[in-house]
Amino acid sequence: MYYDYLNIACLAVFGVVFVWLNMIAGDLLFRPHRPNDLKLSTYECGEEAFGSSWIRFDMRFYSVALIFVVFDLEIAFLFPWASVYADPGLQGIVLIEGLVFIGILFLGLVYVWAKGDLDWIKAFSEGRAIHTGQHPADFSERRRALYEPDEPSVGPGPAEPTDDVKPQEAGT
Amino acid sequence: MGALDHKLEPTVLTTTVDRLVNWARRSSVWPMTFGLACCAIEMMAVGAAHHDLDRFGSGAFRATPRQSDLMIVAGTVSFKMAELIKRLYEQMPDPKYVLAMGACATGGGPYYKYGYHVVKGIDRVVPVDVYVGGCPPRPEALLDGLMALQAKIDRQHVITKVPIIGAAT
Repeated sequence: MYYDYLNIACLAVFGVVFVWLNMIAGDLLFRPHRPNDLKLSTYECGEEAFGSSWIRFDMRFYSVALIFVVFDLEIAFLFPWASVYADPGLQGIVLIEGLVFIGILFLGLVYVWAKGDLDWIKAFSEGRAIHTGQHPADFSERRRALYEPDEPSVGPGPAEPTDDVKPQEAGT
Repeated sequence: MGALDHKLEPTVLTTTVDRLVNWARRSSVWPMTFGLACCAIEMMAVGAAHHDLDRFGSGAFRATPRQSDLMIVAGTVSFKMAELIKRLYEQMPDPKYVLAMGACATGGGPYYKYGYHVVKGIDRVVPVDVYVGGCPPRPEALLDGLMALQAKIDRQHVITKVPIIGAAT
C-alpha cells in the first residue's frame, strides 16, 4: 500500500527535476542575454520613471482593509453555512451557530464604529473622530487651521516675491 | 537529420534544435497590450472569439514589456508617442518582434502629407519585422501578418549563428 505513495513521490521528484533541468538548459543554451541600461530601466508605461517609490501611505487604509477582510470572510463563510442550513435535521443548532458567528463579527463592527474607523474623512483629533456637524468632505476648518493661524508668526516673514519669480495669476 | 532519419519512427522523433526552439517561440508569440488608435479596435477583434488569436498561441496580451515577445504598433504614432514606443521596445526582452499594423504605423498613412504630428512610419523609430497594410486592416490581415512573423521565426537559427539576410533580429 505504501508503494502507491512511493510511486507518487517518484513522479513528483521526476516532474520537478525534469522541469528544473529543462529551464536550466533553456537558460544556458538558448536564452539571449543582451542587457542594457534602457532595457533594465523601470517600466512605467513607457514614461521615464522619476522620484522614489517609497511614499507615505495613509494608515487608515490598513484598518479599512481589515474591516473589508472581516466582512468578506463573513460572506464567504455564510455560503457553506447556508447550504448546511438547508438540511432540516440540523436547522436549530446551525441557526444558533450562525447567529453566534454573526454576533461576534457584529461586536467587531460595533468596535470599529465606536472607534470612528468607519468615518473615512476624520476631523483633526488625537485618535478619535470628532463629529463637527459639517460635511465630511468639508475641509474649511482644516484649511483655516493650517493656513490662517490666529497669532501672527514670530520672526522674519516670508520673503518678498521678486520680479523674477512672481506667483502665477489664476487663469493664465 | 542523418543516419537515424525515419529509422526509429514512430517511437522516437528526431528534430533539430533550431526547429524545436523555433517551434516553441512561434507558438507563443505574446503581444503587448498596446493600442494607439482605431487599428487597436481591429486588434481587439482579432483577440476575441470570432477570429480567435489564441489559435496561434498569441492570445495572451501581456500588460508589461517584460513578458512580451511582439509589439503590435496598432495605430497612428504621434511624435510624442514615438519616444514612449522606443522605450517600451527597448524594455522588451530578446527575442522581440515588431509588427506595424495599418497605414499609419507603416508609413504615416493619411497623415503622410499634412500630419505635422505623425511619425511617417514606425520603422523610423524601431526595427519592424512585419508590415500589415490597411486603414485599418481587416482582422484577417493581422492574422496574416502574424503568420508571416511565424514564418520568419521559423527561419531563425538559434545555436549556429548563420546570418539571415534581411532579418531584424
